[in-house]
Amino acid sequence: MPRTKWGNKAKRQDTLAYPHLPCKDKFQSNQIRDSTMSVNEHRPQPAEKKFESLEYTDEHSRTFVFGDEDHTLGNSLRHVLMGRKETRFCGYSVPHPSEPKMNIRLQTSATKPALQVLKDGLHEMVEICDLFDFTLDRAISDYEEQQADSTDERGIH
Amino acid sequence: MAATRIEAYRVEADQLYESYRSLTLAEVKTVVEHLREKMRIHIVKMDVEEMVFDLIGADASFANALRRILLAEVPSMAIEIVHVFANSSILHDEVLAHRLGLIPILADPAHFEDMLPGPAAEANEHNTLVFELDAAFVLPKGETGRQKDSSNGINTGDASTLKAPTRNVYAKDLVWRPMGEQETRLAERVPQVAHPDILIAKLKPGQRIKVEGWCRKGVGKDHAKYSPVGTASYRLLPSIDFVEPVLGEEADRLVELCPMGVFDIEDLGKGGARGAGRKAVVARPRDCSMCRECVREGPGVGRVRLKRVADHFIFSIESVGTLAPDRVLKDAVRVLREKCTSLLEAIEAEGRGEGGGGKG
Repeated sequence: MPRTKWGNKAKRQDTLAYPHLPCKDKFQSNQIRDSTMSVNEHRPQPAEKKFESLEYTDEHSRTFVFGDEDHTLGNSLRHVLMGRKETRFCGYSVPHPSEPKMNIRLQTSATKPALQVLKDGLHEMVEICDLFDFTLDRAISDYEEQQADSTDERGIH
Repeated sequence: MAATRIEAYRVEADQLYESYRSLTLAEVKTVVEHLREKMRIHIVKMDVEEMVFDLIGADASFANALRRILLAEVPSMAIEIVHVFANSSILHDEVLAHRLGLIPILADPAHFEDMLPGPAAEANEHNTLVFELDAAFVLPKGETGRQKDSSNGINTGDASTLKAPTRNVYAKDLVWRPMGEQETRLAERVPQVAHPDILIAKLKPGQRIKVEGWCRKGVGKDHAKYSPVGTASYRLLPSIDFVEPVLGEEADRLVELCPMGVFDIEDLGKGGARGAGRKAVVARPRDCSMCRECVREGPGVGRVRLKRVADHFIFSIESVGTLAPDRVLKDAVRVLREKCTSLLEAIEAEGRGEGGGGKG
């Protein structure tokens, strides 16, 4: 391989963030530079607290603050909590899109404190996921069976 | 008393039944009880790239949670760090690195650990995959590059325009280099690019690209290159019915009016000639794109009613080719489940730390 122009760029940078670069020893020639470049430099900072319960006098009306959560869990959890009979009011908000925070306001009847209802709601979400998983597995096996049947039929005709 | 108060706060979308108002508090079912009875999944189409299924009986909040997780929170592997040893191509290093990052990598994320961001993170064989790319366009001495032969990916150029030849660098030029015990660990599914024919760069004679891409596990909300799906979306099943029948020639006009071919003619078998006994029927409601052409003017006005079934989602998942769509969906459910379990743990931890947040 003849020497070509790329060798002229011999500018070796010492900004090696990963000194254990696995192939370092393979490139000793100073014709070849080595610069490390991340495709994705910006990373949002994770929330300080994963869960916080804002204290009020009444344990039946609380605002819970969830770190690193958004509409994904907020809306579906709100829906689940709405379906529980102890719930009197439930709403969620994401106060600012660049803050990794989600609030759930939960007011419950006198039979259960809000935190307990929240826990029940989360357990219910877990159950829903399991139910979905189970239903999906069954749907997939039904579909595969059906596909196998139709190819059999095609084979006969 | 309590029942009426709860009812007042509930919004329409949260009413699980049409007859909800008539239920007493004791009869109210939780969401999971309702889903146990009503939720159905029917797969319409499934192959390695695309999956379409009907999710029936679930709420929009759950469908939307799944969609959001599919797009942004299911982990997959992608090139994150690019070591540039030589790049004399026309692409700048950062552009090249970005292009490499977007190439779908066929590797199971379950085989790898998460790598924490920051300089303290150590790349090792459990969290990093290494791909090498060394492509040079070297012409033999004396050659102008305008040969007749176009093998080896060399584009000979057009002699009449005297354009200089180029060599294309494709995704398939990325070669996996196993580190440590990866060779045996990943022997069953050798990591490779999902689509070999993605064009990365074009080289002129004498140019060279020599880079090393380090893949990591990540999620789509960090960078779109980690998203395992091209699109994941749902729409509600259209429901079309007739307030009063559309008959005869008007039925023919209605069938012609619909660009999606939703309507068909049903022959009533009586009335004799010139279509007197013909009636328009809804044959393919799934094809309806809600363009409203049928209710804008003509025979359908006031007769056709366009609606949507509020709890029937037609979900479609299109994979980028690294993970099968059903696998992505199963991963998404697992992610949602883990969100809940980790929050339950966080609640327990907070309760212990501050002496219980309202146990009763």
